[in-house]
Amino acid sequence: MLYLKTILVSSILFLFAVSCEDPFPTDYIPVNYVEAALEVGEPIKNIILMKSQPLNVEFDYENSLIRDAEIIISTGEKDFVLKTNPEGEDGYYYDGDYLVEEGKEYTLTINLADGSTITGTTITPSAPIWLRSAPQTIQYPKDTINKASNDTLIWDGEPTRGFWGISVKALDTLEYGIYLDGVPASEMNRRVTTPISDNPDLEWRYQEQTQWGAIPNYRTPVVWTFFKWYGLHEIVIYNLDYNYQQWVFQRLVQREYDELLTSVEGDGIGVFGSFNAIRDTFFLIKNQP
Amino acid sequence: MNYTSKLTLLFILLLLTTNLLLSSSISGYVKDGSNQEVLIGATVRLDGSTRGAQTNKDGYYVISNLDKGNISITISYIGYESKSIKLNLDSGEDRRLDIKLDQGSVSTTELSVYGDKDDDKVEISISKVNIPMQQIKKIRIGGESDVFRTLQLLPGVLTSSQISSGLYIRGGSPDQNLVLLDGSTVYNPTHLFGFISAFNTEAIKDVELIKGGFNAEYGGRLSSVLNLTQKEGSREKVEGLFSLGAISSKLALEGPIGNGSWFIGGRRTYFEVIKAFLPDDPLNPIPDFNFYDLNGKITQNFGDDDKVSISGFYSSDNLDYDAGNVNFNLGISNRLGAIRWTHIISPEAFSTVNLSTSRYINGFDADNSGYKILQQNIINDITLKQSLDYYFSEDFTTKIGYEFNVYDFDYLADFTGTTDSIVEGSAPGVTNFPIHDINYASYLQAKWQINSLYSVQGGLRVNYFKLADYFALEPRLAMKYYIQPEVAIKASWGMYHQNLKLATLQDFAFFDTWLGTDASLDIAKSMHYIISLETQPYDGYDLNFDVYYKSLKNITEIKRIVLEINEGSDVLYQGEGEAFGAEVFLQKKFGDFTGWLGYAYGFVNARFDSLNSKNYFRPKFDRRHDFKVVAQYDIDDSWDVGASFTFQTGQSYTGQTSRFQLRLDGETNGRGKTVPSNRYGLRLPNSHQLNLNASYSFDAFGFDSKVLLDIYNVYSRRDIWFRFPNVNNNETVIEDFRLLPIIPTLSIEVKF
Repeated sequence: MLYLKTILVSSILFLFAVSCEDPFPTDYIPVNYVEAALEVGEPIKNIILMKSQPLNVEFDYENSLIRDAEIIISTGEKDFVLKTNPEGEDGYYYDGDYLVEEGKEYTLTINLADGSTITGTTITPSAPIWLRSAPQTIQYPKDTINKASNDTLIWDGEPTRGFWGISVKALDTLEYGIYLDGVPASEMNRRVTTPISDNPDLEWRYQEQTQWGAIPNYRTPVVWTFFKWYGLHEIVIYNLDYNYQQWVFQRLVQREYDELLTSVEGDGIGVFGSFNAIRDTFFLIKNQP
Repeated sequence: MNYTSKLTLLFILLLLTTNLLLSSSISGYVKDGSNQEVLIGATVRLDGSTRGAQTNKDGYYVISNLDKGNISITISYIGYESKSIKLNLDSGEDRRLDIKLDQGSVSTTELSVYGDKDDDKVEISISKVNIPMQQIKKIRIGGESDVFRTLQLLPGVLTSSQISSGLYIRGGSPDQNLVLLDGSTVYNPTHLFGFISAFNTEAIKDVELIKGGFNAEYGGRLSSVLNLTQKEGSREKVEGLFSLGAISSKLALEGPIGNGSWFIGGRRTYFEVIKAFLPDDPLNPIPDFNFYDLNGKITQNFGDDDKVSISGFYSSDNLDYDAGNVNFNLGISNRLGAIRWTHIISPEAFSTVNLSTSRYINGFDADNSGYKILQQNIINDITLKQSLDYYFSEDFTTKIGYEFNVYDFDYLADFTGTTDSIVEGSAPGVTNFPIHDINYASYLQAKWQINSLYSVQGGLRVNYFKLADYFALEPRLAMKYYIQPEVAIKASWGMYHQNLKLATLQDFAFFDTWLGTDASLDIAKSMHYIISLETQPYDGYDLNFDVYYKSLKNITEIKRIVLEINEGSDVLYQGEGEAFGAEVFLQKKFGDFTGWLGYAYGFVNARFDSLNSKNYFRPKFDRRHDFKVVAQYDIDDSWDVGASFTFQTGQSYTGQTSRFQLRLDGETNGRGKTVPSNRYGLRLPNSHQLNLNASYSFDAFGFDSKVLLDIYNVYSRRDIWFRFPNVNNNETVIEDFRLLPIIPTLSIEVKF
């Protein structure tokens, strides 16, 4: 039995010695990241080209932008050579009066200073139309228990692959009531509190004004968990091309980048997509004084 | 080959049995003397020779080709007092001899050793582990004894985390394990979303795990077989057990009825009762949760040669959350009903017919301010099985059988916001994906004891998967050779196919979805190669050393983002893999001191065209070293104590090489995203845990009672469940989500 004990103790010591963990890696392998979405009826703008940043240094959005690339968007009939500003967080834009057209194929070509290339293609989708747009005001339920919305948004159109994009942006995060008649402007806004409210420590998410969703339907009730602030909101219904549709899921579903949802080729990752959107505004009224 | 020809070929093997010959012998059932429950794996040995037999899953044995005159046999079974019987046989006599053994303790030590050595009398089993139920009941985790949790303490049986009861056996995922309850398949037998199994240990009397290289009798899975046998119940008197534990309470009742017995047992949580005492916060409500399960069985004998049992199993988990405008509920359930008929055609021919229906269902529905979604997966399985054991002689035994399965799978999902839009087929956001499939299988296996040193076993299983229109031949081969009187070497090779696919997330058993193989997917295949060395270095100690290699083809991983489902390949990636390694297992099954010590050294590799840039990767559950010790000690009639200790290489996780910021249209900040490195290419810290248990038996008002103390995770080593970089701010923070700390629990058990 002593022999067995010796084997047991030696085995445990051996295992502790050889079964070491890997420290979290700080090896940095940069990748070129493209975020390009054309909106029908709007100028070509905000084409982001970024170099991914190491994990062990503080992320700086502005400094991660690549500003010395040659970016061309082409319709086959015309090439648009894009410009960018030397500072700020805005991306590349076309300095002209061209507006993106519906049902047209656009190609993206990015030539980086190191000789690498990224390409992509999109076909712009058709426009959705409101059948029933948002009411002017929406009352957040006073009793938050088992309260469904009576307000329904309905639209129509031909979604590219079945899913529509929807976003709600809070335009009044600081001064509730500034857009309403007779409401004291001195009353500061406050947050909508829900069981799944964001954690204030999660700075970006806490401060994010826009909530995005993707739904496979042409109608939706007003979903209360979309709201963070009371006040004026913009609601947007998007008809997304397939590239941008996948990218919306890339945004919504997981923290880690999914290589299968990228739509550019070459020496980079990211999206080159397009959308056609309709917009409206409504006012979200508080449920409590 | 047309359909009729295939059917003809499948059944031709069965017809071979119709003209089998009979011979003189002794045969019968071995039973527990106190309640007449049949004993599985009991040894019947002819004194003064190496001849003998072992009872099968129905407690039946036969020794044939006996000479006339006086013979003496000894019957033994672990935990029971051995019994010797003298007989005078006439020439050509077929003596029916049902034997009752009385429960005992250590006095059976020596004979039990013989019993273990005769383990392969009827068939050669390799990589098979039996853990006595008495031992399983003592090994409690968080106050609950649990079959799966106990099996996880075996070398080579891994888990995705400390809170998961899923069994990853020799590189195979849980869906590759054939889980049989009285011969009928159970699909997702877990409670608490995978924390413990759905099998109540009070209802189970035998647990057998075959970690690989299983015989032709078993099929339809790639990796392993877990064979559970339910209690039949006492044929002597009505008795019962009640226990009050930290998680659930149990009640088991059994007794005689007619010419047989009945058993019913159940468990239920009582979190609702505890919740009633907790403060209520409407904005942050505590979810309602409960699980329960029910096992029942009625057995009747019709004469000496026929026995019919009807059994049922039901388990259910329910989670409800209601926080005003956000609510959801989740339900998972298993239902199993089976009727089993065993018939002794002749002393040498033992037949079993099993007709069962198994239904697994999970459902999730949610309502967010009127936007409703639902997801549901149902599998219905109706199975007819028949087998015939024929004992030509002690040296030559055969088993032949067939299996006929009718499957109906249904995956239903509606994310459109309304739940009234379900239609046949798939549309954006709506999936109604029914699959109907029929599988046929037939098998024949024969074991030949060439001489006292050599034995071989061959088998052939033939499968036909109708939906995939796939015809699979599965040859199986095993051999055993005694290189020394106390040292046997075994080898096994076999081919295995699996039709069923499971779409699952490894860490959660919430949305497990079973699918058949349709035209868009391929039948999964595996090949097992196993060499095993078995010996008994000390009296009462069994030592096994196994080396294995397993190839895996057409294995699957779930696609996390699916926009539309029209066929199986829309849900699953398909790839290949391999698993290989070595295991040492030292086990002591009987006596005051019982337990085991095991070590496994293993590798698992997988490759998918759509994952990890087509490069090989090790799955999350892969652990290089796996060391386990379990010890139980009966101090006296009142006290017993025990401990289990595990040490494993850290779980794999995926590292990240950089980060970027993704902003959709209109977003002011967007979301931080990381770029992954090699899939599961890194390791978390080593995992180790010590659990202790003790029980004190006493008499309370005339009832046998026990107080059970368990300490889970004694030194509060909180394993990391997930490690991830938090990129919600400019600064990247590496966060660890840790598992449970130390949890002491107290339970009470009363027998009546």
